[in-house]
Amino acid sequence: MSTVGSEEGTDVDDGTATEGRSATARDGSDDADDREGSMRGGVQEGAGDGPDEHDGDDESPEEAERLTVRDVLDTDRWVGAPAVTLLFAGLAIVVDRQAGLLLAGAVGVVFAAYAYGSGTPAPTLAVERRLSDETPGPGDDVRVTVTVRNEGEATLPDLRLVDGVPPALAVGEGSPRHATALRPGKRATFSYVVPAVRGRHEWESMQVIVRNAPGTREVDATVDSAEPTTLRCSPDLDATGDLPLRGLTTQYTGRIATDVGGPGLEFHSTRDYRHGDPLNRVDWNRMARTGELATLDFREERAATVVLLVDAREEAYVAPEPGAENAVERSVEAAGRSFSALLGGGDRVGLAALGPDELWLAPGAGNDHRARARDLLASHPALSPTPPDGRFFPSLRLRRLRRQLPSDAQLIVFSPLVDDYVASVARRLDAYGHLVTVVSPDPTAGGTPGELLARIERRSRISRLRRAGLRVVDWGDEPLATAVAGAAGRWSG
Amino acid sequence: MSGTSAVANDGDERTNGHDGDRKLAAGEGATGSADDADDTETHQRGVDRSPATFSASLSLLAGLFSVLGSGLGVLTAAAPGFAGLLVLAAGLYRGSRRAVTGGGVVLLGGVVFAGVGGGPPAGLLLGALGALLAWDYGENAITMGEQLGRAADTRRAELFHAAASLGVGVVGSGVVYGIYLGASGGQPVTALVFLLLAVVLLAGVLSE
Amino acid sequence: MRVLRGVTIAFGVLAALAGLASVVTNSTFGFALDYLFVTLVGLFAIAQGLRYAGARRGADLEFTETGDPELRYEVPTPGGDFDEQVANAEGWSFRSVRDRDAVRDRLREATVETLVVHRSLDPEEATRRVNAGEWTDDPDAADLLADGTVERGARDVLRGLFRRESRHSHGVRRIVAEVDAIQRGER
Repeated sequence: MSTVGSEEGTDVDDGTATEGRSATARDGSDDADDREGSMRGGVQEGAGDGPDEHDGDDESPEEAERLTVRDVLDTDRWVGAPAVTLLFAGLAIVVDRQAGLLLAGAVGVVFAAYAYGSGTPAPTLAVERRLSDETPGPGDDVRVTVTVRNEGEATLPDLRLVDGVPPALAVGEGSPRHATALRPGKRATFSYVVPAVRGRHEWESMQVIVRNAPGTREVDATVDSAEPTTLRCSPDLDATGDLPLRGLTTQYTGRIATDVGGPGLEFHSTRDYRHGDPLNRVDWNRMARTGELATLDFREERAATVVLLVDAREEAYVAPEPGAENAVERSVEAAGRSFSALLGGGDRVGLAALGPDELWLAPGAGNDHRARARDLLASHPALSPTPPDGRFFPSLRLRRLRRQLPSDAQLIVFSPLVDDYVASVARRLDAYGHLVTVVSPDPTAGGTPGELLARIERRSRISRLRRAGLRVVDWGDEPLATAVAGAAGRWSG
Repeated sequence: MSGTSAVANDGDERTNGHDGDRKLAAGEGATGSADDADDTETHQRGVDRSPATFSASLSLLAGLFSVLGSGLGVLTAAAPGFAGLLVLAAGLYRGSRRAVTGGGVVLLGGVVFAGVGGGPPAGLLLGALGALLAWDYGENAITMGEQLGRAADTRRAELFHAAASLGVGVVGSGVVYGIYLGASGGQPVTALVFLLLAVVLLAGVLSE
Repeated sequence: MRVLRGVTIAFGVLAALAGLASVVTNSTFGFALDYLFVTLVGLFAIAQGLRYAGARRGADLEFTETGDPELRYEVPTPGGDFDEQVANAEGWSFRSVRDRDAVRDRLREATVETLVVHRSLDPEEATRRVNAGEWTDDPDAADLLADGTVERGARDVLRGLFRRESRHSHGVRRIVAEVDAIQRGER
């Protein structure tokens, strides 16, 4: 348990929790103040006297706008308490004619009155969330510190908070839940740790359950922090070299080696020296032998153009276990590493997705291109770690993709291959003359008959693709590099 | 994250905690009504929603005081009291509202037993107060567990709740006991009838 | 309704005050209450108490439920839909029959394709073997996909009687295990 504990003790009743907020944020909030002033359960202290005058150091009124009451419940907790009194009194009279039981029974009425006399709490809260790192790398631990302040004028005797952790993030340590009692102006702080996963993650509103002291009335509400809390986690595209995609790309370059002489690696011919030829291509041996200046020409290697196509349809969001890394996340990870490996190898690389949200990055090279790709891989909605909402139109998307693809582009398709659609897309693209390789993260489990059948069908699908001449990397639990190396061995053998 | 309100019939058990019979279901953990007896919640892997330990301990402590109160004059009354304590403990362990309520009722039964056996009024008062507090803390422990779970820090809210209930109970029974002491002497049956009438009328109105 | 409520509260408070006054002054205000009347009041209180206890038993305790934001959202596992179909396939309702057919078709397709690839059969021959129940030695697996019934020994029949699983889901399990074994080259 790593929660910092509720520290009502810090007697801070001003805006330190939110200091440093920009003036623009304040302006926005002021508008909200006018619109939703009636929403607030609290009292409008100081709201009228122009918040513009004291900039950023006192913002109690507008913070409170962000609370929305969803439901108010009677919990009926103390229903039946008078029964204790009545039964005890009745028994006292009928059975023993003594005061003792009558006396004891009075406790029931005491609690019934307590329950009846307590009203409904009217919470006015401000929430602030702080991340230890807003742009962590994948796997980094991010500590989330949440501060809740009672902005109302009444004590909140029972405040239960459930923070809106983004769906793709799991809490590693601590708990995003907290319960406390808060006097007016006091704050409570708690914290928890989330290991970052790739993507752009926005916190949802916090659920707040406020009870009165006897617990008979319960207010269910949500609160948003003054500013949205966002965590952006980009894949690391700089670390290259650990992915032996070269086995894959030598095939590519081999295929498009030109017959044009020029700079390169493989000897092509010699010719007379022309003014301006680089010195490292002068044939010094011949110079020594004959005294003539000649220039070596090598077989020119044109860079391959590779487009990475990620299957991000709703069907691709599958995983061997319910909360495990899903196939799209693994595909994007593999795409990112392929991207940097290919770019590092001198190829021109592009990016596309098969899914309801359109993503197209035309093949390119250079550091700007790398940065663009990194951005897209991190936060493009098409590659979100949670399934998309929109509808996917397969034939439309494919026609579009064909128009976008350069005619000499080779494709690496990333898909779990859990249905026939992507396999058919790969075969069609292959038929159109693109060289297609499929990298397939294996999302199947082998527990139930259905899971085993899905595995069987996926194996059949892969073998069908291989028989059709496509190259498939079947990526199980092993590191991607191992899977690629294994598959490359199969191709060369 | 969507929370909806659930209805738990006090008679029908909400499976919770250690019975391990919980269904793992996809999607959010919010369910609607818990009216069916065979309701299995859609809480997923991981989140331990068993009763909050602090309130549960306080509940047992209050139950112990109740047993003490009823056993004060009539030692045999401690037997049903202990039975109630056991039921209460089982209810807290399993997260069962029904068992916790049952435990409270049996504790009250112990008090009645002691009263009929002629136990001292102070002891009976302590017994009844303890029983009600034991139920209150126990129910709060279960709700806190279901809403926030074991991993959350809920100590302060639990403490506040416990202190408020204790304060109300102690002050209320103090007043009642004071009146009883002031009226020591005869047993005005008239007073009893009046008070009873008051309780019936007021309770009828207040519980509407 | 509100008037009645107010009057009732007033009477209640009055009665409470009278009772307290009676306690403090130790007087009866001239009321002469005999034993029978007091007992009746006691019984009335018990009846009322039982009514409240009953109300308690029937009370719907309401409270707000919370989600599980600390867990990742869940995605399905491939094949979960098939397991559901198999579970639904018991019985003779329209839906169970339809699900049973769907399960059979999907299993047949996977089996035939596996036989074609791993046994080097042409599709017609593979289909024939599946229909005839000749593709496997396991009668439980063969039976479900076969057109007719498959011969099974007395021991298999007897074992089937003591199985907890239904015959259909057992057959499904056996087929899937058998096809998996063929694919992995174990059979």
